[in-house]
This record gives sequence, C-alpha cells and structure tokens, in this order.
Amino acid sequence: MIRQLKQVVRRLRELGMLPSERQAAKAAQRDALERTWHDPDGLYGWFITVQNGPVVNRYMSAAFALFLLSGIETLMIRTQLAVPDNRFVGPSHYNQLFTMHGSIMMFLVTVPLMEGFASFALPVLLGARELPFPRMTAFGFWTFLFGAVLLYSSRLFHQVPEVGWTAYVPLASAEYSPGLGVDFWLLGLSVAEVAALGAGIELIIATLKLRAPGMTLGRMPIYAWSILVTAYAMLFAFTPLLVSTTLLELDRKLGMRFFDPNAGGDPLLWQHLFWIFGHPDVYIQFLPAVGIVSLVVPAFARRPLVGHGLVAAALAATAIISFGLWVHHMFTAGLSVLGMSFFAAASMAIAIPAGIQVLSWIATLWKGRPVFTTSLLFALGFIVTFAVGGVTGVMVAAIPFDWQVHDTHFVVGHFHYVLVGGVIFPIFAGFYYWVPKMVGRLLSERLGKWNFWLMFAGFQLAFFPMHISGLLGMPRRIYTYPAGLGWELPNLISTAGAYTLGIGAALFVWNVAWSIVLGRGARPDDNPWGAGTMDWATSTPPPDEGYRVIPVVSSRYPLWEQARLDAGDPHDPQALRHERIVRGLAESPAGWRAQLVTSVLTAEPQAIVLLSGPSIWPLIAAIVLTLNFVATLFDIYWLLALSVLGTIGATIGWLWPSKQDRERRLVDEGAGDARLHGLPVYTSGTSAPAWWTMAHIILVVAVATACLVMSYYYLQAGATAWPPPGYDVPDFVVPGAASLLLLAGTLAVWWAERRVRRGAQAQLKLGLAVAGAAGAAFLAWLILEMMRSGISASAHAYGSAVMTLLGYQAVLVLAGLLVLGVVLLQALLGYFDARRFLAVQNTAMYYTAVAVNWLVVFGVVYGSPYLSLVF
Amino acid sequence: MTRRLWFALFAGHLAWTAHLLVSYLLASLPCSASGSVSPLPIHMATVTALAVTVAGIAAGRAVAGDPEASARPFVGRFTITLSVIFLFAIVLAGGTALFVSACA
Ligand code: HEM
Ligand SMILES: [Cu+2]
Repeated sequence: MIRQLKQVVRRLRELGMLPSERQAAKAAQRDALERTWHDPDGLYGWFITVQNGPVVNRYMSAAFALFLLSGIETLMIRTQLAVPDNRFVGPSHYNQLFTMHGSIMMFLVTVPLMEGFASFALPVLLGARELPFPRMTAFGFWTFLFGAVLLYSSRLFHQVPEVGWTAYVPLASAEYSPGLGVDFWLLGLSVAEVAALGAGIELIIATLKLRAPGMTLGRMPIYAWSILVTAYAMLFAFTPLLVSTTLLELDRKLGMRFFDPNAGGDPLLWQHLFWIFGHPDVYIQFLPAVGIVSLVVPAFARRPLVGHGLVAAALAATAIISFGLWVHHMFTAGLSVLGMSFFAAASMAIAIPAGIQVLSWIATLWKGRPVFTTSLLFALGFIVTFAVGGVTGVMVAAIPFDWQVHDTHFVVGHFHYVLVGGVIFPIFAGFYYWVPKMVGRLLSERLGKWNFWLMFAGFQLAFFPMHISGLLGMPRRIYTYPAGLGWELPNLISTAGAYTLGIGAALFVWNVAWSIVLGRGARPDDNPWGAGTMDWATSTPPPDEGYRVIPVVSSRYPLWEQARLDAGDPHDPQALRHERIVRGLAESPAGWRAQLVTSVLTAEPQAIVLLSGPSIWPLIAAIVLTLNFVATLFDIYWLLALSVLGTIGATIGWLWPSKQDRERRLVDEGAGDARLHGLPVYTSGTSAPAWWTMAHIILVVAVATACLVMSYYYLQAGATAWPPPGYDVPDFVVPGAASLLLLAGTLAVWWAERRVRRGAQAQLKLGLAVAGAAGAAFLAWLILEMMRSGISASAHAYGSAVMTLLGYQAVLVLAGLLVLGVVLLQALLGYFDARRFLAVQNTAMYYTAVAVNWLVVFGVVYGSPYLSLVF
Repeated sequence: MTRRLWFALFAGHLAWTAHLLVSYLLASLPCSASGSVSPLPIHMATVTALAVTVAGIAAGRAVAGDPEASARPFVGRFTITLSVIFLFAIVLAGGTALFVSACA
C-alpha cells in the first residue's frame, strides 16, 4: 500500500502536478540548450514554472475537477426532478444548483479545457518551441484557479447566486437579489474572464507569428485555424461580458441606474449585452471542438481532411455569423417581428458553414479506412449528437416555434445536445487522442470503449426525453412539478440517463487513475496513432525545449508527406535558407530561450526573439488581481487601495526586462550587430510578438468602448428627453480644448519614437516627459470635470452612462501614464537605442489609442445630447 | 498585405454585419399612422450589401490569381469562400423583408 502510494506520488511529480526535488543525475546529462529551457525543480520551482507542459497539466486537471463537481450538481438536479413533488432539495437550493452548474460549465470548464488543449498542442503542431508569452500561460492558470475558488467560496458564506447563468435583471439587481451571491458570481467570473482575454491574445499571436518556416496559411492545420478564430471570438465576446458584468456591479454597488427602468435605465440592455457575449460563447466552446475533430478524423481515417480550405473558411464564417444571432435569445422579449426575423435568418444561415464541416468529416471517413479507436468513437458520437442539436437549433430559430418552447425543457434538451454533444464529446476525443503525448501513457482502450458507450447512451437517454417533456410544457428552472401532466416518464428516464452518463464519466476517471497514475497504461511510441500532423513529431512527452531543430514545413501533413522535417521542399527557393536557420538555431543561442518569429501569410523567418523564463510574478499578479475583486466584494477599501497598488507593482515587476533581455546581443556568440543566423534579435513593428500584443490590447479597448457607447445610445434612444429634465446640455468648448493636450502628447511620444530610432537619447527622454506631462494635465482636468459637473451617477441612467464613460477614459489615461513612467525610467537607465525601442513604440501606440478613444468619448458625451435637439 | 487582400477578406463580413444592423434599425422605426412603413430602404440596403460582397469576391479572385506570392492562391480562395457564405446569409436575411411586414 505504502509502496503504491509512493509510486503515485512519483508519477504525479513526473507529470508536474506535485513539486519535485532536483534529480541531480538527470540534470547533469542535459546539455546547454536543455538546461536553458528547463525550469527549476523543487517546491519554489513549482510555483514559478512557466513551461506549458506542467502548467497545462495543472490547468486541465483543475478544470476537469470542476467538471466533476458540476457533474455532481447535475446529478442532484436530476435526482430532484426524477419524480413529481420531490423534496430532495428545496426551491432555493435548486436555484443555486442550476445556477452554479450552468455558470461553472460555461465559464470554468469547457473554455479552460479547450485553452489547455490549445496551450499544449499549438506549439508542437505549429513547430514552435513554446507559446509566445509563457508567463501569460502561468498567469492564466493562477487567475483561473483563484476565480473558481472565489466563485465556489460563495458556499462558505452561504451566499450562493440563484439567478441562473444568465443573471437577468431585475432579478439580479440589488433590490431582488440582496446579499453577495450575485456579486460573487460577477466578480468570480470577471477574474476568469481577464485570464481568458490574455489567453486569447497569446493564442492568436502563436498562430500568426510562431509557425515553423514554410507553414504558410494554406498549410496551417485546421486545428490551428479553429484556435485562431476562437481566440478572436473570445476577444470580441468576453469584452462585452466584462463590460456588462461591470455595469451590473456598478448598479449593485454604487447604485447606478443602467438597468433601472424607473430612472432611465433598461433591463433589456442587459439581455442585449449578455447575449452578444452569450451566443458567441457557445461557438467559442464549439469551434475548438471542430478543430479537435478535424485532427482526430484524418488521423484515424488515415487520409487528409477533405475540403481543407473550405473548412478553414467555414470556421471563420461560423465565428463571425455567431455574433449576429444574439437576438434569437430574445424572441419573447417583445421586439419588432421584422427586426427579429433578420436574426432568425442569420440563425439559419449559420447552418451553412456547419454543414460544410460535417460533410467534410463524413467525406474524409468515407474515403479513408477508419480505425475505430475510442477517440474516433467520441468524434463520431459528436457528429451524430451535434447534428441533432443543430436540427433542434434550426427549429427554435423559427420564431413562432420558439414562442411555444421558450424556457421549457425542450430548450434544455437542445442546448445540451450542442454543449455535451458538440463540446464535451470532442473534449473526450481530445483526451484519448492527446493524453498519451502529454503524459507518456496510453489510456486503456478497453475501458475507453465502455467509457464512450456509457456516456453516449446515457446522454441520449438523459436529454432526448427533455424535448418531449418540454413540448408537453414543462418549464426549465422549476424545482418540482405535480403528477398527472404526462411529465413523469420522460423525467424518470432522463434521470436514469444522467446516472448512466455519470458512470461513464467515472470510468474515465478510473481509466486515468489506472493507466496514468498507477502507470498500467502502455508507453506509446512517438506517434502511436500514425498521425500526419506535427503534434506527433516530438518525443513523448514533448521536451522542455519543444523542438531543438525547428521543422521546415512544406506540406499540410508533414509526418505523412515529408521524408525529413529539417529539410524543406527542394522546389522552394527559400528552403535552403530555412534549413540553415533551423540548424543554426539548434546550436545557438543555447544560453537563452530563443524562438523563431515568422511572417503572417507565408511564414518567412523574420526574427529571433527571447521568450521569458520562470518567474514568480505571474503568481503574484494573479493574487493581487484577485484581491482587487475580493476587496470590492466585501467593500474593504484599504485592501482595495493596497491591491490596486500591488497590481501596478506586479505588472511592472513582470514586464521589467531582465538583464538577459537587455544584453542578449552582447553576451551571445559574438553577434555584434545583433543578428543571429542572419536574423535580428531585437525587433519592432509587425515582426515583434509584443507589437501584436499591443495591437490586440488596443482592439480589446476598442471593443469595450464600442459596448459602452452602444449602451449609451441604447439608453438615449429609449428616453423621452436626453439629458433628462433638470440637466443642462453639456458645454463642449473646454473639453474640446482639453483634447488638445492628448493630441500634443501623442505627437510628443511619436517624436520620441522617431528620435530613438536614430539613437537620440536626450530627445527620447524629452518626448516621453512632454507626453507624460500632457497626459497628467489632461487627467487632472478630467477628474476635476467629473467632480465639478454636478451630474450624479446614481440619480438617472444618463448620469450613470456619462460618468462611466468618463471614468473609463480616466482609467485608460492613468494606465497610459503608468506605462509612460516606466518607459521613461528605462530610458533614463539607458535601455533603449537605435535597435531596441519596442517598448517606446508600444507606448506610442497605446497613447495614440487612448487619445482616439477620448475623441470618441468626447463626441458621445458632449455631442450626442444635441442629437435629441435635432430629432 | 495589400489593400486588395484586406478588401477581399472583410468586404463580405462588413457588408453582412452592416446589413444586419441597418435592417434591424430600419425595422424598428415606428410605423406610420396608416400602419405601414415602406420596405424600400431595407431592400436597398440588401442590394448594396450584395453588391459589396460580390465586389469582395472579385477582389478575392484577383488575389488568388496573383502570381507573386506562394500563399496567395489559398488566401484568395479562402476569402472567396467566406464571401460566398456571407452572400447566402445576406440573401436569407434580406429575403425575409419580402415576406414579413414591418408593421405586423
Ligand atoms: C454532464 C451531464 C449534464 C447534465 C445531466 C445536465 C443537466 C442539466 C439540467 C437538468 C439542467 C436544467 C435545470 C433546470 O432548468 O431546471 C441543466 C441546465 C444547464 N446546463 Fe447542464 N447538464 C449537463 C452538462 C452540461 C454541460 C457540459 C454544460 C455546458 C458546457 C451544461 C450547461 C448548462 C446550462 C448553461 C444550463 C442552464 C442553467 C440555467 O438555467 O441557468 N450542462 N443542465
Ligand atoms: Cu444563441
């Protein structure tokens, strides 16, 4: 027994799930490159590691644990609904159960599991050594963990939310949901969403900039397409969610009136904002599933995917159209019929790209010689189940039908066909497919088959009857029902099905314990499935450095179609150059974590950049970030002040360039002109990953602004008088003049950037200082303006909207000033010169964005009241 | 990336988005006292959106035929597929205005 326990502990250490002590003998064998990429062992090492391998293992284990927890909640739900007039749980407890179940599954299970897969698979699949921002990966895990703990800790305080995963107002307002339940929900989710946004940006940059040389867009695997498209959808969907949860929190905490119809607000605004996030969110879960299945099906059908390019385009189309469907969740909200019919049409149009995907898989299987492994079975189970969910989806997209079944168990049946069939089954397909590569053990196929068939049959039993009980009129979110309505049989079957499904899932846990933790599973070779994509190109599990020799890609399925991975297509004039670069990179630099950056369309090598190494900052940053939310939750203002300062400090500490970063051109192999293998080691503009990060941060800001501005106009359009009686139309002359400050600052910071490119240190400092001074003056004016205007944020929705927009602008400016201050400090320390000025460039971009943002905010706040005079 | 490529990539996307939002707004305008509102603006929006998307397809063909860079054929075909899907989506949405009245 003790021996077995020791063995388990050893396995968990190997998997990176427990801290391990240094194994000196092993370490001595490593050569310089391996040592450079290896994160420290031991307890402290466990907290600072940023390697995607161990981080992903933890991330996915935590998300899977939440899946099981939420699964237990569903069993309680189903137990309660098994028979009429049941008293297993009471009404309030039932509300808590489905609220937590829905929220956890939607926010903290599927998306993190998909992100986990992506963080593991993308680097190997694309031929990258790591993700572009390893610290971001670690930060993502910690924030996710703390967000989940925060949400679940509501139970400790007996403040569990009861408002459903949609948190509709007025139910979720302070008036009808007093206590902290909803606040736990809002703030816990916000923590997780911040992490999701960061992950989204990281995954985008990985697919766009870290592909192996020769992997043109046309050769990029469908899985990478799916992640690219999903990550963009995340930026466009999670930002509205952050905005809407913030507005609701402002209503609840500060008494603002966004959603209060008695003071110019509108509850429907919440529904719009929530579903602009909520519908795409379904696709954010579903599109990576398409990606997984598009790897699994070709791998086991033993042939390339049919219609590769069509599927790539269909993925993009699905993601985009998914943003035009949200109104179909509001067909019963009393909107205009013609207006709704456009959204009904869009909801049906999305069946076109979905159809392309399904046909492509079927054609691939048809033409191939499929091997029915557990992984492929789950993929097939997905296709069948998702098709049914698609059909019921088109049914509810028909407005009159939706009027009949809205808020019944028909809808519950429908969306579980899409969510369990369309997301959970593919996740299991992904487990059986990738886990052998991730941890170096095959899962048992025998247990796997049981696992699949129990889950598949249990699923159909559990959810098909819900369509019937729904058509018979059974509403969702009711804790019990009387006998004699014909609902008994479907409900009983449904509960039996849920338990069968549960047993199937338990078998998976047993399979993992038996095969991996107890180590009974066979050890796979490097490509146990004989797949053609590069996720199977490395040794098993992938080494810390990913690829010592980065592959040169000349086909879509390199392992099937290329004789060697380090040799390019002989017809490609660039191939020799690519080979020289990747062979050179295998030798040097060995002293720092070097990654090749390539161009977006054609994957031509552009630069060699340094990836960050292990650090405690991601953990600290996650802790202080979470503390912000905890302090807000419990109204502890001193803690809030401390944690805001802490967040600023942690961000600076995190981003402060290491000595290695600053001096790598000096220390390494005599590369005096800061070039290695013919490529620059300091970059700026579109060949620098950090430039892309800034561009995407600006995109997120723009989306947030758009949401706030649309909310403003939504409220204005619904108002009889705007500003409301008793308010003055704001004067725009002084604010207009204040805009000049930001304009001047923008010019100054770009001037500084231009000058440092010529190596002019003094002018760099001068430009930055002027920009800082202008920004500070603007901020001071803005704060004064907010205090002096006399507009109350809590008297009327008008004031709430104005103050929120101005406050938001103030926060953006403040962030810009902090960045500027740090960059100025670095300039004083002499960190920049004609080659190294990326931080200056990024600051200039951000400053410009803030200035442009102000012009928008200015136009809205000071201009739009005049619209009411015109119309 | 050339300007033509950007246009090919986003024409259908933006045409569809703008069409959806504009038609939704037009459909939400108050009905006149006689209980009718002209569907003409919506039809005009539909035709415009279709025209832009078709122009996007043409641009995509030009990109695909560009002999210069190896990645272009794929990217061109990619944008064309995207635009064709949007073409369908616009026809579907615009078509509803033929059958459903704004003041129903
Ligand atoms: C694994 C087996 C599952 C079972 C047995 C199950 C069961 C249920 C049931 C019976 C309800 C309806 C409660 C009610 O309205 O009274 C429900 C609601 C819901 N489920 Fe599941 N579910 C499962 C998995 C999932 C998964 C994987 C997801 C998402 C990825 C999910 C998302 C939701 C959502 C969003 C709701 C709505 C919650 C609300 O009304 O606010 N479920 N589930
Ligand atoms: Cu939807």
